[in-house]
Amino acid sequence: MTHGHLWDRLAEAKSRLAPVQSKYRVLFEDPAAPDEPAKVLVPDPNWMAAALAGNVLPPIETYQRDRLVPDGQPKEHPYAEPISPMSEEEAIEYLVMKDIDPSIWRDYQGNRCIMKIVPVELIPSDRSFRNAWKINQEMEMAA
Amino acid sequence: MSTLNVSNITDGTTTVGTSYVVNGSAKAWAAHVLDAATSVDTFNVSSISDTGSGDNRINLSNSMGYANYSVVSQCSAIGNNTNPRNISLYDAVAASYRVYGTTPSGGSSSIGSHTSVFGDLA
Repeated sequence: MTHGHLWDRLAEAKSRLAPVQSKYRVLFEDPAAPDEPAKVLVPDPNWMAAALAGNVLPPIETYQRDRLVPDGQPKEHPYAEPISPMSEEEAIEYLVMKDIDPSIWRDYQGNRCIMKIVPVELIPSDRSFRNAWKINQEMEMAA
Repeated sequence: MSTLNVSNITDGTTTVGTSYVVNGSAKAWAAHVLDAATSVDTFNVSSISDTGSGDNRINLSNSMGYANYSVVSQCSAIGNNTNPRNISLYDAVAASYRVYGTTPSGGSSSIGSHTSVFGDLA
């Protein structure tokens, strides 16, 4: 194995790459918890730099397979061969599949929009009613 | 100053990669504000989900081996604010953990969260 462990590659990448602030956010709601507010996924700038640079992160399929592996059992993603550079849009899709439950982005059968990828400007800056946020079913998010 | 350039360190019985020592023993850490999940700096974090007022989930790039790892946490003020505040850890799984920041009046996003993760990597 020449590509080493994911943790080592992340450490090396952090020392070499400048953080990249994404211009996107992912809004999502949990259909199993309809009373909870909408959630906002924020890509980590160091992770985004690694995604754009390539040769750091493992294939997304390894994370998906590891979801089924019980704790304490060997996982695939730390040892998988790293993938090539991604565009920012591809990196966001990768994050959705990695950090949001498949019941939201893959399995949901309802007709309510429960996930949106939006420019950061569409996230409300007024957090007075943060726990009442829901995804607007038209264009923008409304509190 | 002398430099040791070695790949592994051993005591004769156990061998450990030098990178684990050079890069520190915390397997992940995150310093961020709970208002919009904006990170100040992190390591081994792929994203932070703002899940409510004062409530954030930190997602790890390289998962931990199991959910029973240790998270050392500290909260800080935003601005020159000396009001009491607290930060709690909950809902930890191998791939992520959740922090909840509060003041005496309840969940608050105006808190800095500083967490370090110790344990075995996946």
